[in-house]
Amino acid sequence: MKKEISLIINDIKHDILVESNRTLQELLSKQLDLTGTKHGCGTGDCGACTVIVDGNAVCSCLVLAVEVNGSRILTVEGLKKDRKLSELQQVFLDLGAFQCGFCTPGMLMSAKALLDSNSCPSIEDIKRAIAGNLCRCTGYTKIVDAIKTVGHDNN
Amino acid sequence: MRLQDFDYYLPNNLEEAISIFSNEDSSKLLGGGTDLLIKMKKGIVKPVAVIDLKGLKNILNFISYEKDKNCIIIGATTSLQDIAKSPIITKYLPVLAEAAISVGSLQIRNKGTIGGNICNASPAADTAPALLAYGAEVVMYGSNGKRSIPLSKFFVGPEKTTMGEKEILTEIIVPVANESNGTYIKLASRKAMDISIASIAIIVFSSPSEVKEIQIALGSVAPTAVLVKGIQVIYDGSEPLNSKTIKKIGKLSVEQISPITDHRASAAYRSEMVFNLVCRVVGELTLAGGKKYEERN
Repeated sequence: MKKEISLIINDIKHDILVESNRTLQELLSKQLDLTGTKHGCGTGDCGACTVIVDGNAVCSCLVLAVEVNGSRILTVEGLKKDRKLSELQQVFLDLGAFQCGFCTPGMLMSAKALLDSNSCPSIEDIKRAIAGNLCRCTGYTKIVDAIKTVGHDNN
Repeated sequence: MRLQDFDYYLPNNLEEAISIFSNEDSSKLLGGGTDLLIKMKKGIVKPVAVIDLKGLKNILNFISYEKDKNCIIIGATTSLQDIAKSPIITKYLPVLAEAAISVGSLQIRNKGTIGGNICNASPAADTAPALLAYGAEVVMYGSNGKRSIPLSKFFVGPEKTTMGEKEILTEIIVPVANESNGTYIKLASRKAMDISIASIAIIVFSSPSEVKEIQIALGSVAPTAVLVKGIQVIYDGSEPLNSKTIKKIGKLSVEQISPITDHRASAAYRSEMVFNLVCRVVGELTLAGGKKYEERN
């Protein structure tokens, strides 16, 4: 079943015709070429598809595109401003908080959601915020440090 | 894992939702989608129609404190994260807040709903033991109208409830436990993103000087969440609690479960953990002056 939806993605309004069985992850990465939102497990376990919908971090693989009609979505592509990386992204780069980079967009979105609600989170706050994001490469330490550093800079 | 095609409905009111649900033979209700979409992707369910309850959020997505009835009413599509962080829930139903925040991850809690957690009726559903211990009631609507039942009469087996096939759970009514202390323990291999090996909700009702009543509910150790019966027979509040009585309560709890052995734990381990945790937590909540159980961390 096709449905007309209207939503704002990274501050840009989109009016799109979608199939009801299209997930938000598929809409973003396949239909809109915003390939930063990765398909990992497809069942909400790995967090690689994390985006922010109306201020809340969610797994886009478990969201139907039709569900977000009228919503505001932020993807990893929306973090940079005027072609410049956000402080969060820059700190991840500077501290080496990634290796293969596959989990990184999801990690950045979970971090962004956290920092938007708590600008100076504790280590425990950070670990809780990224509990739904799996990383097979880094062992998480540098990711937590990077988020803590941004929080510290906010202070 | 592609979803098969389905008709998508977004009803504006309850009557419309019930009407579509009753008329569409193979249809499913969509709350948060964190269980439904996984089942659809795996082909476990193949609904021809999906009815999104987001259109009813003004009547299904809320938490309110009814002072005159001394109860909290929670709309069925309230997210687990909203419940975990709600000032009303953390103040009046703290064990439910603890249970809600133990579910999954932030991403899952931002979408998953309390109604979905109950209606999926997993034996491991985290909100179930907390709601049972608080004495919750559930309200349902179908084409025959409204009815409400105690949650203790709701679960009948793994993923089986006494809900009619075409009924919609709309709200959960929880009496406020004045003068009580309690906690929810989720025993699991991981600190997040896990299904419990055993879960325990304990609420101790007490006046400033003595313990009056203890409610214990258990998850993941039986085909459904279990509200332990007969604690009053062992302890009725007329005498101070002692460790002998606490052990009897622990033993009573174990007698009422029927755990299985699976890849998470053996039945024997689950029974032993229920006994140990019930004794420890009841002890801490009563003898140790209300000090709460400190989770490992």
